[in-house]
Amino acid sequence: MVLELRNVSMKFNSQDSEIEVLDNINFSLEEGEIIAIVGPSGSGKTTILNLIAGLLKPTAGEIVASGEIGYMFQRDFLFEWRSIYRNVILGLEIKKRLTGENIEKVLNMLKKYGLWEFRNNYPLELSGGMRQRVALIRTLAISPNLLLLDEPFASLDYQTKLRVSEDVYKIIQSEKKATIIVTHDISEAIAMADRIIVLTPRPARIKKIHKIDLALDEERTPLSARKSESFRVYFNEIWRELNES
Amino acid sequence: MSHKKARRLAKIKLTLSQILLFVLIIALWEAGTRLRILDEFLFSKPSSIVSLLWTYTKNKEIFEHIYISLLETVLGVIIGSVTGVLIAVILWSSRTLTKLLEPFLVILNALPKTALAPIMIIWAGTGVTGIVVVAISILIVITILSTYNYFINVDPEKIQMMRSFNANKYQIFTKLVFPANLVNIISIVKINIGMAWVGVIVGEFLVSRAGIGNLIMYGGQIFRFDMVMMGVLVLSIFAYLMYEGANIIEKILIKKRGKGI
Repeated sequence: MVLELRNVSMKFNSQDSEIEVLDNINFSLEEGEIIAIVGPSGSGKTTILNLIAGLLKPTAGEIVASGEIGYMFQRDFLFEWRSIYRNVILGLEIKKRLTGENIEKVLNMLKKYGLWEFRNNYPLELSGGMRQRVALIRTLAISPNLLLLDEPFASLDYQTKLRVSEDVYKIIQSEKKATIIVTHDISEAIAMADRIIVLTPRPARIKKIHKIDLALDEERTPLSARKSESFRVYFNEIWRELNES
Repeated sequence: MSHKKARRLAKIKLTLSQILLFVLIIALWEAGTRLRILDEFLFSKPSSIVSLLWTYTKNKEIFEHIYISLLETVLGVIIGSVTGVLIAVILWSSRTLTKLLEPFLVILNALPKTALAPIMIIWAGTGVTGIVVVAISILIVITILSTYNYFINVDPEKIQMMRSFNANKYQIFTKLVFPANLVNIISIVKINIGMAWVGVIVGEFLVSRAGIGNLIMYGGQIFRFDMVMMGVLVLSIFAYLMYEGANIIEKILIKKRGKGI
């Protein structure tokens, strides 16, 4: 088990009121598994990721995570004053782990994911999809065994989004990372995830956990998943769950 | 004709027109005083200004004035900017200190610092030191406030990203906050050059034995308009050169960031 959340609750204190965001969240994540979290906007999806990443402390409950966590945000946050290569090694630099072995790993990822020729370019010279891949490699460079993706494709146009989610899925698969992906896009969740957690409106509780079994003949990728028969069944079910109050 | 060529031609035309306009103003000025439309005592004339500058250049006296004023300005800009940015860094790292000092800084910023120039020269001593202090006083508070303001306006989500790698405050500053604002700091320094010149000239007006401000003041007191204008001419040339120097430094620093900027 890579991660476990036990009875996690979260409240935010604003000046004169208390906002209850998460109410008793329980789930766990296995090695290599991809979980998608969907929920109405403002339901605290990102808060769950921030809690897991340790950027926030839960008001109640406990989060057990083993090993390094890689967090990829909705926007790429590449530093425009750093070359692509120097952007990718940012995490290693901060963690003082710039060893020959790790650098080689990063260089291999740049080659493997089509960014090698751009390693000395600057972020402003790259397209949105490429920048998102750079951000993913920056996250993977620290060798996390748990990957958190917060609406990673939300800033991309539809075409790019399909292509990049295909790329990202392949990367996650080939690096065998346990992953939590937060999204408001139901089809994206079904296309990528092994399990989908559906949240209620705030204060968010877990409404249902779906195990996605698409029974595909071909190899599963986000694109082939979208073509499967059961895709629409899952879609309708989750859509209904999100829209009943 | 290609588009690029047309643009270059338009640029040459503009530069030529600007030169022409300048020559025209100088010619009108010269003609005006020679034809006694303008009073030479009050307005002098370009040819006497140039010949006076030539005399001052030959006996090398002008170089001492330039040297002193440049030294004071450069010291003022460097000491004022570096100290100002350092104080902004300290404020950025401590919310409590910022809250404590904020009203004082705001009042100091609103105060016209030249009002304090006479007393500062008495505190710091006459000569180069006192004038450098006046120059610093004019630019330091606004440097602190604007640099601090740039620092705290770094995207908080980028800071979250840094924190997701467990970055400490020092790393957040050196790898994100400072490089993200390098361009802004350079533009603050560029503004500081102009402000330091104001401080230096005001300081030299008050007490000085040499410097361009001293030259202008002396010329004014003995009603030598050509001397005043010579001082202003030299001043504008060197203020401009310093500004261009800062532009070159800026280009070198930013060049490494790719074509996008």
